[in-house]
Amino acid sequence: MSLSKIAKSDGTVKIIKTRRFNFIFPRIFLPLLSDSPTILRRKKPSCFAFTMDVEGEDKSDYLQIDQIVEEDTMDDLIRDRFRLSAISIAETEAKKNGMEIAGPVVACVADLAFKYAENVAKDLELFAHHAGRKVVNMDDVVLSAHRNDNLAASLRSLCNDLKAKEPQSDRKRKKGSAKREDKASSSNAVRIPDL
Amino acid sequence: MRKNVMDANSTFDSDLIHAIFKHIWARRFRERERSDAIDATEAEVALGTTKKNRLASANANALKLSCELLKSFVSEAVQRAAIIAEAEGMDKIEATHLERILPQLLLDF
Repeated sequence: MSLSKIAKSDGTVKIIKTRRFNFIFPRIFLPLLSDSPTILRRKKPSCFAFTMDVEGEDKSDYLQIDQIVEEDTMDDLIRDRFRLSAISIAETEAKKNGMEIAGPVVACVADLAFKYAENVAKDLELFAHHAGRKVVNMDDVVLSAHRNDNLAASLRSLCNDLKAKEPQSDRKRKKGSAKREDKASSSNAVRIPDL
Repeated sequence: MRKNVMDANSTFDSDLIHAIFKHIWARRFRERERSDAIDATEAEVALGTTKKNRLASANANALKLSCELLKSFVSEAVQRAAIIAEAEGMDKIEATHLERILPQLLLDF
């Protein structure tokens, strides 16, 4: 028994209970299906109306519903904040080009950017998981921009700038360069007494 | 707030992007938990081939880069649409201009 959300195109969310295929099949059908085991084991859920109460697990379902409602309000809040930022960026960019931008257009761009952000989040998680990591890296972000070469190049240069600024990049440096560093510092120490 | 709008180089707030990513990752984590409870076959569990369901988190620099990425998405969209509008001789970016740049924009990002 699980709750799932279906986001409808008009922006509302429909909560449905989905049930495992096994539970709804009456016992008489089981012998008929026993020779086709794949059908039984396939996890295709069938959807019932929300009001159907089959197993008395209502309390946990209501908790899940509360969670989902809370999630939705959080979702709206985040979306609104993102939209505001996106709108301000779009307007400054339009001003830079000396043009005005129509209201609906800027709202459309903001929504597009939010959808893109969702895709980026999904991609980053997948890349990090693929690399066996739990924390998303800068490399993951650079990789997620692989579709456009110019974009990838600009992100990579930003990445290098950020890495150079990092004060504790010593840990990440390879042994070779670290040795070179030590040699350089030791040679400096030798030169000073000569002066 | 107005001052931020007037800034020459406004960009997305790192905390906002972090909140968005955490929200989405938490949602995917919960969905995976639910589907794992349903899907896990005996054979997979016995072989140990099921990957652990980990909740992702982000590096600070990765967040900065993602802010730049999202900002460049918005900037590119507006700039490309502005080029089209300028070619038409108009001084306001309309929906038709956005429509024309949309396919290539989505292919590039």
